[in-house]
Amino acid sequence: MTDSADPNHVHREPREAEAQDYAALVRAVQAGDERAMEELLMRAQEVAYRFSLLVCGRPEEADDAMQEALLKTYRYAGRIREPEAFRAWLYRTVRNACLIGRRKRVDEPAHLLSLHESNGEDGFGRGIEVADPGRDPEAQAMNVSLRSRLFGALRQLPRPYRAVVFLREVEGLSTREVGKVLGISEPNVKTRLHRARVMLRELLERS
Amino acid sequence: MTSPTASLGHCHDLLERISRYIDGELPAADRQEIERHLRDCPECEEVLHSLEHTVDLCREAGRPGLPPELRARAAARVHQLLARAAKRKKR
Ligand SMILES: [Zn+2]
Repeated sequence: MTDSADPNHVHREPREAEAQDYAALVRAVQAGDERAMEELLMRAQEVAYRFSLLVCGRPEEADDAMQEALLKTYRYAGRIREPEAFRAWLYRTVRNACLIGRRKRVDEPAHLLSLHESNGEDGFGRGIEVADPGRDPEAQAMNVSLRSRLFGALRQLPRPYRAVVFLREVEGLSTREVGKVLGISEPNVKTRLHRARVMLRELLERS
Repeated sequence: MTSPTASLGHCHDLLERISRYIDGELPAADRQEIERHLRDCPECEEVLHSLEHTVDLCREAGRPGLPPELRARAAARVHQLLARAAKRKKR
C-alpha cells in the first residue's frame, strides 16, 4: 500500500470503508442484532433500486428487484461464513435478478421486446426523482442536474461497460469484487473499466 | 531517441495506462514516467483531467436515494418481515 500512498489519489480510493461496514453489519446480524438486520435489508433494497435504474434501465421493475433482494438477504445474512464476501454476494444476487427479468421478457411478443430494448426507451430517466433529504436545496439542485447528465451518458454505454462503471465507480466495489459479481477476471475488469471511462468521458463531453 | 515525450506512440501507450494511474495502481517508476510526460503534453494532460472528472462525477452524483414513496414501501416491507419472524420465534 505504501507505493500508492500518493496524496493525489487518496480521494479516488474505492469505498473500502463501506465494505467493512457491510461485514460489520453481517456480523452484528449473526450475533442477533435486529437493528443491524433492518439496516442491511434497507441497504439491499437500495442497491437493487440503483441497479434497476442504472444498469437494467427499468425503474418500473425496481420494486420487484427490491423485494427479491430483501428476501434473499434476509435468508442469507445469518448463514454467510465470510462476512467480507457479503457485498459481492449482494450485488451478484441483484444482478442475477435483473438478468432473469430480461430473460422472461424474451418470451414476450417481439414488438414489445423491441420497444423495451430500443435505445433511449429502456426506461432511463423515468422515475428518477432524486430526493436526498437533509441536503441544502442549492447542492441538491446541482446534484440533480449533474445526475441527469450522468444518467443520460450512462444510458448510452453498452450494458457490460455500464455494469462495470456502476459497480466500480458509482458503488465503489473493489476490482476483485466486480470480477466476482460479473464472473470475469480482474485484468478483464480493469480493461473494461478503462474503456468504459474513455467512452463515458466522450459521451459526457458531447452532452 | 531524442525526445521521448509527446510522440504519438508514447501518448497512446500512456493513455492505455491512464486508468491505472488514476487508480494509483502503477509502480512508482511508471507513475513518474507518466508525470514527466504530462508536463510536456497538454493533450494527455487534458485527457487525464477529464477522465478524473468523469470518475468523480460518478462517485458524487451516481447514487440517488430512494424516492420517498419507494422508501416508505421498502421500510414497511422490512418491518413486516421482521415482525413475522419475531412472532414465529415466540411460538
Ligand atoms: Zn501525450
